[in-house]
Amino acid sequence: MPFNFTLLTRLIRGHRVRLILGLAVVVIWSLLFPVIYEAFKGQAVNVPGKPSGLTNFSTLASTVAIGFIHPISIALFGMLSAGLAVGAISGERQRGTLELLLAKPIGRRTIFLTVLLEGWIGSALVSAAYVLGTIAGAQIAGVSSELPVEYLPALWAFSTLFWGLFTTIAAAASSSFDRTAPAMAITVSFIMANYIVEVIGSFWDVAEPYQYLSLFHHIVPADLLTGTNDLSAAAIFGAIAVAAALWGLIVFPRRDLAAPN
Amino acid sequence: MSKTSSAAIETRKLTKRYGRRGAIRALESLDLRIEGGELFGFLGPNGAGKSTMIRTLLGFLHPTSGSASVLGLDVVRDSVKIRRRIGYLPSGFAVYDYMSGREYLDHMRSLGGRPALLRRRVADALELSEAVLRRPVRDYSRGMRQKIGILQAMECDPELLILDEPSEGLDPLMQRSLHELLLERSAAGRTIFFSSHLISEVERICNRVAIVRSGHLVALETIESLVRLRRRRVEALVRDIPEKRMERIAAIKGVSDLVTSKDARGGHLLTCQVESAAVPELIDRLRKLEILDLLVEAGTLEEAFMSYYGEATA
Repeated sequence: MPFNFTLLTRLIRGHRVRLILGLAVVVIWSLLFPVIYEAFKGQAVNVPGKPSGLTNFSTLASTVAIGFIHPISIALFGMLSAGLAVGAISGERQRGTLELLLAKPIGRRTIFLTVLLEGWIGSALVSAAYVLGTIAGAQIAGVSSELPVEYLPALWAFSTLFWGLFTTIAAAASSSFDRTAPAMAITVSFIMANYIVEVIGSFWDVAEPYQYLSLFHHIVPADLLTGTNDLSAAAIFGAIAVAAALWGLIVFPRRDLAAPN
Repeated sequence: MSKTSSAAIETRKLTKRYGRRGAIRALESLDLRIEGGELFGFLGPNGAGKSTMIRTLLGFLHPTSGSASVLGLDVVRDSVKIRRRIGYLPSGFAVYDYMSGREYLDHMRSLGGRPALLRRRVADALELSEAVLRRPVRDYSRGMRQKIGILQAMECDPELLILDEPSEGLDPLMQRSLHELLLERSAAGRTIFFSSHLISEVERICNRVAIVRSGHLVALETIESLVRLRRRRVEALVRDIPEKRMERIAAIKGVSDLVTSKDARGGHLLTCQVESAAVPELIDRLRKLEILDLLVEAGTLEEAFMSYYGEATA
């Protein structure tokens, strides 16, 4: 069995307050965008040549897309996906509780994969919360008819994969260090670097050719909500996630875990 | 049954080095064999290699060279199988603070996949009532946490118990209860690997002891043998000691630090250190004097331990 469900239950229980509050905040946050769209749609300006969703308030789909890549959304999504995995192994090691977990008949690969599964569940839940909030917001604002409901599952699936990728990097970092701080630093730096490259490239012509290097450049919520997205992005996200998972599956079982200082 | 199959723990030239190019030698060519059913003491000061040994047996560390087996299984290849059959209490035991004692125990039992056959027995011995187990672990004192650690290690009646400083934080009464529990499990055929720096406690309950220093095994004996090797302190109150008798006593091979002084009770007090083999001859010669009082103090494991370390640092 690649996962341990007793461990999974305990991990989720340990994060339950963060998950419940965080998901509630995501629902409230995401329902604001249809409301904002309804309030400002007459004044919104579509700026030609800019990446989809950054400045485009002309349709409900593009407004929802803005919400998806807003810095607050990034923080919330990151906290509820990668944030669950980043301290799952290094944090246990730091607190001294990993000792007894490793003394039980569970392989280190099973521990790693279970931590990963919890992060992916967080990723799926936070993506679902965003979609649910959007639907609720559209209902509240009375713009449900403009919501491309048929494309919402695609937005959820891509969002889960996208944040699952960062979760896998967080889990790999967590399994590589004895303390949470370096694992957290690597994960946050990776997300920030990708985000900054995308944002800078959107308003600075010199940086624009390098936008493709950013993972954020390959997830275009406005395209997902209009059914015009590029499926190759899923392959990119999947390949990076598999590479990070392999890192954790190889490195963690080989590590010497000396007595905590 | 072959010799190998009955060993609960066996290491062969087990070596563990850390750091660049193995600069730190935590264990060096350690050969050790612990039979099933033994209550085995593992002694050494901080940094001697005790924790490294335990962590290697549990598969937390990978041996640099040599090999080790636990319950007949290889510690590298069969680590998960080994952990299915052992109970472990680490030094500096830590728990999930958001759980109650009972939830924590149930969680650990569920991870181990074995029934908690001894929970009631061990909880009673350690005075862990239902009311206490219902409280959140974050409200527990250090001693209470340690009791929970001991309970989770013992409750599934493992074939091998590995305990690293189990008396940490326990009051003397609880230490006694723990010792009784360990003796009981040992009598039931369970093997107990008991790592401690409390020599008196090891001396009280263990059958055999290993002493490690700088990753090397410096002694592996029964407690009796170790203590027997040590000198006895003899105090004899005699009416009088003529000069010639004194010289004869001083000439006994194995007698040292011989001192006489006048005693307030009347007579002369003779004190000396005597190797165990020389005790009968000394008593024989003292008998020729008029003995008013006699005290022969056995050596302690602590003296044995200190002598190993004294010899090492000399």
